This record gives sequence, C-alpha cells and structure tokens, in this order.
Amino acid sequence: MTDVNPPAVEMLHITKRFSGGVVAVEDVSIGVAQGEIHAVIGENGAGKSTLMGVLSGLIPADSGEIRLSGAPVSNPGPASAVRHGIGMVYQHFMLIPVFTVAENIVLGREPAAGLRFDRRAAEEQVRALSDRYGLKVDPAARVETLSVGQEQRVEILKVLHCGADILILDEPTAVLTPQETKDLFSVLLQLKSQGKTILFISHKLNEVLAIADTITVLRHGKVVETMPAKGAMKESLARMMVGRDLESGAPDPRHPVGAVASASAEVLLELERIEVLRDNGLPALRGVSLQVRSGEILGLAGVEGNGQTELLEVAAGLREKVGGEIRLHDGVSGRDVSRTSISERHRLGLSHIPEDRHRRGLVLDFSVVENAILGRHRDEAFCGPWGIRSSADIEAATLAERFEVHANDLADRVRGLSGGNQQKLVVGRELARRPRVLLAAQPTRGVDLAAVAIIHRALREARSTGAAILLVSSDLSELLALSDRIAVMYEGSVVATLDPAKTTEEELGLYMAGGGRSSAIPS
Amino acid sequence: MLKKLDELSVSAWALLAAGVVVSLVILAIGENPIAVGRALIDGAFGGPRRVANTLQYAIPLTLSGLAVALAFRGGLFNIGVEGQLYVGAFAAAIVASPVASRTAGEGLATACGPLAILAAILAGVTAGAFWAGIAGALKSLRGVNEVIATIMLNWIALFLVGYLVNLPSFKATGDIPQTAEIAAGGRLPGLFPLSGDGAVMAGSGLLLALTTLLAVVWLFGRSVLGYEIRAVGHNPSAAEAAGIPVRGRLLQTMLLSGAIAGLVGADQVLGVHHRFIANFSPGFGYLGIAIALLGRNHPVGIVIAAFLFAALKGGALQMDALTNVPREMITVLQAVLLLFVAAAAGVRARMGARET
Repeated sequence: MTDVNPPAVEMLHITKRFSGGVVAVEDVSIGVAQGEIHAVIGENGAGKSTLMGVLSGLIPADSGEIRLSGAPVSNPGPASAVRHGIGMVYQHFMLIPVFTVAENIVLGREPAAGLRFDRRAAEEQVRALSDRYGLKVDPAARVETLSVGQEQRVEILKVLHCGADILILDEPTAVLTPQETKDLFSVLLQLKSQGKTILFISHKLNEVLAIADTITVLRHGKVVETMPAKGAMKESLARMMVGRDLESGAPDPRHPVGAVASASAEVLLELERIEVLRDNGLPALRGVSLQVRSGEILGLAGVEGNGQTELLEVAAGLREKVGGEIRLHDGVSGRDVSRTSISERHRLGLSHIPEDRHRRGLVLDFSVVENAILGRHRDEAFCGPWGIRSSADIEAATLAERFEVHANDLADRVRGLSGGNQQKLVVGRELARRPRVLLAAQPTRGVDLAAVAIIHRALREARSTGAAILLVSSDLSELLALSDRIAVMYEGSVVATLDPAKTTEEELGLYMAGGGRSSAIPS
Repeated sequence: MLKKLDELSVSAWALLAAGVVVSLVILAIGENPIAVGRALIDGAFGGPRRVANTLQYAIPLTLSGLAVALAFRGGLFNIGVEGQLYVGAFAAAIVASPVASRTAGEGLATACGPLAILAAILAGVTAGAFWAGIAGALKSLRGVNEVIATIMLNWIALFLVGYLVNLPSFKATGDIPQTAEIAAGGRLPGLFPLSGDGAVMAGSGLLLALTTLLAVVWLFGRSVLGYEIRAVGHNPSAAEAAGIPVRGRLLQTMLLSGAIAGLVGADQVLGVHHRFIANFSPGFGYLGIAIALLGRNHPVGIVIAAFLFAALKGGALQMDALTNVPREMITVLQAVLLLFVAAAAGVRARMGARET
C-alpha cells in the first residue's frame, strides 16, 4: 500500500439516473479524509441527497465505486453501510414518540436480561455515550416531550450507538433555531476531535464556512469543485452553486419593489388577530393580523414551524381557528369568511397553492386533465348536464403549454410527472382561476431553476393584474426577489414587517431567529 | 376506458394460473381436466334452461360486485353488502306482500301490479342505502372505520330480519321463517318465457342490473359526482383543498353502494323467491367483494367476473354428477384465483411504486 493514510470515504465516478432519464448525479468523485468535517453544498436538486443516499446504501448507484479506508465496498446496501460504520442522520427524524430516549437509541440492539428488556442497562449505555460525546439528553425522557434540537441529538446518539465512525447529516440545521445550531456545531466539533468523520449536507453558506474543513460544491449532479474551507469566499461559493452571479435579493427591474402597491390600493385579504392551536393544543398563532392589498405580494418569512403554514391553512379554510377574523373584500365591503366553505371561498376569488403538492395539491392517481380542473370542476366551463365536458382536455392542454408542463400524454397519471412539472401544473391551475387573492405556500419548493423562473413570472403577472398575494417561502432570496413587503413570523407572531429593498438576508435571519424582539420594531 | 381494461390483464393471467393449478389437482385425483371443463361448460350453458340459470345467478353477483366497487372507488371498503341486501330484501318483501297473515294474493300487488313492483324495488333500495348509511354516517361524522362498522352491521341485519320475519304480522303460515308469497302481479316478470314450469328463469332483474351497470359507468366515466368521489377516494386531503365536501361524499358513496346492495335483495325477493326467506343469500354480498377484486373495480371487469362465477356455480352440479371431481373444487378454484389476483395486484403496486 503506497498511500499511508487512505481517505475514510472515497466515492469514485458515481452515476445515478432516475427513471425518465433524469440524471441525479453524474460521474461524481469525492474523497473525505479521516476525522474531517466535509460539507457538500448545492441547490435543491443538485444531487446532494442522492449522493448521500448512495453512500448510505439506500440508493443503488448505476455505476461507480465506494471505498472505505481504501477498501472497496463490494456489496453496497443499507445493512452493509451500517456494518462499515456509516450512519445517517435524516432531515426528518425517525423516532418513536412514545418511547423514551434510551428505548429509541437501543432499538434493534436492545440489552436484555434473560428475556426481559434491560431498561437500566439501556439507560446506562446511553448515558455513557452521551457523556463521551458531550450530547446532553435525559435517557429516561419520552421523545415526544423533547424539542427539535434534542430530538436531533437523539438521532445522532442512535447513529453513534450503532458504532458509526462516518456520520452523514442531511441538512441538519434546517429545522433548528440559531442557538440549537450553535449547540449542534459544538457537538460536531467534539465528534471530530474524537476522530469521527462527518459529511454535512447544506445549502447555507455561512454555516458551511463556520464548521467545515473541506467543501464540495455540486451543481446539476456534477462536482464543481472541492476546496478547503479555509480561505473560501461566500460569494464565489454562491456563484459555483448557481452557476451565475447570485442576484441576492435584487429587485425585479420590471417591478420596482414597493412601488405599485401603494398604501391606497384596495385591501383584498385581511386577517385579524388570528389564533390557532396546534394538534397538541399549544398555540401555533398568537393573534396574527395582516392585510394584503391588490397588486401586492406580501412575503411571510420564518423558520419552519413558526406558524406560517397554519396561517395559510386558516386563510384557505383547511384549518380551524380559535379566534380572529378572516375577511375577503370584493371591492365594496369585507366579508368575514371564517365559517365559509372552501368552495365558497373559491367563488369569492381565493386561490391556494398548497405547501405540499402531493398531499394537498394533486390527486396523484388522476390524469393531468383531471388535475387541471380539480377545484374548478364544477365551473360551467367544464361541467354540463352530462358531466365533465371535453373542454377540460382543452384547458389542460392550454395550461400545459403556458406553464411548460411536460407530460407525454395528458391522460397519463400525474404520479409519473417530475416534481417540477407537478408543481407547475398546480401553480398554473390556481392562477387560471384569475384569483383576487392568492395564497402561495412554498411555490417553488423542490423544483428546478427553469420551473422556478416560470413560476416567478406567473406570480408577478398575477400581481400586475391586481391580485393580492400572500407568499410563504423558506427561500429568503425568493422572498426578497418577489415581495413588496416581508412579514417575519416567530413563534406564532409577526415580529417585524420589512421593506425588502432596505433589508438583507442577514437582517431577516435575525428576526426569524427571534433576535429582533428586543429592537423595538413594531409588528 | 381501454387503458383501464388493460388492467384486467392481471385478472386474465390470474385466471389462467388458477386454471393450471386446479387442473394439476384434478390430474392428481385421476380425472381428465378437459372432461371436467367440458362438464362445467355443459352445466353452465348446455341448453336454454341452464343459460337462463347462469344469467339469473349472474344478476346478484354483478350488482353486489358493483356495490363493492363503487365504495372502493370512493376509498371505502363496504363489507356490509350482505347485510344491506338482507335489509333491502325484507323491505321489498313487506311492501310487496304487506299482510302476510292473509292468504297469498291479497297484498298491494294484486291491486296495482307494476306500481307495486316499483314501490317494492324502491323500498329495497332505500332500506339498503339506509343500512349502509349508518356506517357511512359513522365514518363521515366520527371517523369510525367502515370495515368494522359494516361487518358488525351485517350481523345486526341478519338477526334483525331473522327476528322480524318470525313476527306474526310478517310470517307466513307454516314452519319456515318466510313471508307470504307475493302475488303474480307483484313479481318481476321473466324475460325469456321458457316452456314448462318456469320455476327458475332469467328475470327482468337482468334489466335492472344492466341499468345499474350503465349508471355506474356514467358515474365514474363522466359525472361530476363520480369525479369527486374518486378524488376523495384517492386523496381526501387534496379533495378537501379543492373545495370538495369530503364528509358528504363519503356518506353519499356509502348510500349509493348500499342502494345497489338493496337492489340485490329486492331482485331476489321479487324475481326469484317471490317472498322473503330467512338466510336466503348464499353470501352474494361477500362474493361481491371477490368479484370486485377480480374485475379490478371496473364495470366491464365486474360483469365478466360475475358471469364467470355464475357459470362455475351452474357447471358445478354437472361436474359433480359426471366426474369424480367434487363440486367443492369450484370453491378451490375461486380461492386460488383470488389469491393470484391479490398477489398480482401487490406485485404491480410495488412495481408502480418503484417507477416513480
């Protein structure tokens, strides 16, 4: 062996195509040294998760090789990955809420006393592990009582309990508060000091620069560059990720921010002191009041779980509220629609692009045509005495053309379309109603850049024809690019309303983290 | 439509495979599968009487298959067709022969003929819908699992009508728990007048089944209600977001399914037995589940499956008489067939999931 110290992980010429010929990763090679924190960054759809899926054995690669400490992995698969000490901490935690921390961690490798589950031994093991790596958790606490950050620690402990030496963290900070992120980073540094190798997936440049030793940038399934983090510049990383200069929050030239929606424009949607409870009875919204005017996009920023989802669901009629009023204005008077059915709200000019297109936006086993008229299927245009008219086919074809929904056959099930095409169909359908008020939740989540451009163009067009748009997005650059005003939500309240022309992602981030509370900006 | 027929190929393959398995069993018994098959076909279709018998038997099978399939399309598993058809049958019988203690022939039927038939059918349909509606309302208002509810309602229905038919006001004279015979004018007329006694013949229930079939085809092919029922069946969350009243559709799906089940009962009473007899059904409601499964919830598939089951039933006696193969072999064939269909559907679903 000539190489004295082979990399802990080597992935060589990995290629993975999904059905439909979509290339997720193509000829990707990366090497991760023993005991380093290696960040893999890239936009949504750049192939980060696929690559990590290949490494953890969940996704079989079409070609390529994985070597661990120089030895090729002959038979990749989840079991073999675990055997080789690879552990994955998922973005969505896979814990059993009613089990205790210790029970969750030892699950599958339970210490036994005879036939009995030895709870005390389990808790001892967890305590030892937790002391060794500085991950503080109470082994006897039930997981459902933990905060998100603590749950993540349990996930990490679970992986360590399996004996992992190589940890993969898939966007670990996406769900964390800034303080929790800081705690996570000190845990990662602790793990590193104990010789663990860490792969860290992210698209947040600040975090990556703060924690990583080495950075690999992926774009469109290919490696752009691998470089040491020391000396790397945020701007150049951003450029590599998108393949062009990042117009960070640059206002749309055709629509100067804040110019059109003057204070005199008519208020079309009014939410007043909305209060909502979560499923567990804790408050999700604590008296939120908002007004959206004709010709305006009001952006809602916030870390996921701070009430934005609930706010839109209440306005759409999908969630019960315990207090407050929702008023839709028709030009003459405002009408409280709190008790109005969803279809009646549609008739009053409300449209809704749901956050989760698979759950709320589409019937996956319906054809493109059937989905294109979903929610409008009782309109006279599509519905006659003998049922659904063939005009539905024409409508679907029109939508598909206008929004570039690529489908082989409009009679095919929507299930077979790519996420971007599905999303364009939903956006197109909702805008085809010519809504007076549009609720848009994560309209570009998980879609490619071309689709993003189409969807953004469509939203701007709707605004210029006088629609009032309430936009929720976790993508700050999207919010900055589209919104006329941005309201920031934190723990169920609007903590700030900002002018996007005069703010930055950093400032938004501060408010999103609850940091703006003390600085007396009224909501 | 054609695309959906393509799904029936699963059933065709399953039928072939089941045929092979059963042929092997028959060979093992020492009989000739071809001779057995010939006896089956002769028993089901050899002569007008046998054809009529097969047709008559296919009517309740088609209808209960449709009842199950309709609920399936709406995302509901109606195991309660059996109970619903009993309730429907009893309701039809008491409308057609209101006072059983009198001698047969003095009921409403003699007075107004076709009107009485219509009233009896309507009563059966309404009662079936009501019985299914109990489970539907529980599901839609309280989220009670319709599988559990309909199974329990089956037993309640069976014992309830069993009790009612023994009451003096309903029970015909004699030891058998049955209502008085419906007068000739209140019966569903036979479609093909066969010479001879005509005890069993294909009744005009065939037209009822055909009408229902076309209605179901339209419901799911074109109608807005069918579109909404399917949307709720596939994805209630998306249906809700689209403004479809999900709870209402769930209830209506059960009502429609139960209405068809009630029609099965009415047809049996008015067209076959000419009275309500306790425990008359050989499990039509449960066979309906098998037929909906075999027919892939597709109206055309259900008709084919129902005729297949009806022919097997008709042929079984002949096979039993002419060969050494017992008629229980037919039940074995049906069971093997369903196992293959269920397994094939599972394999297909898994393949489909991998594609996306």
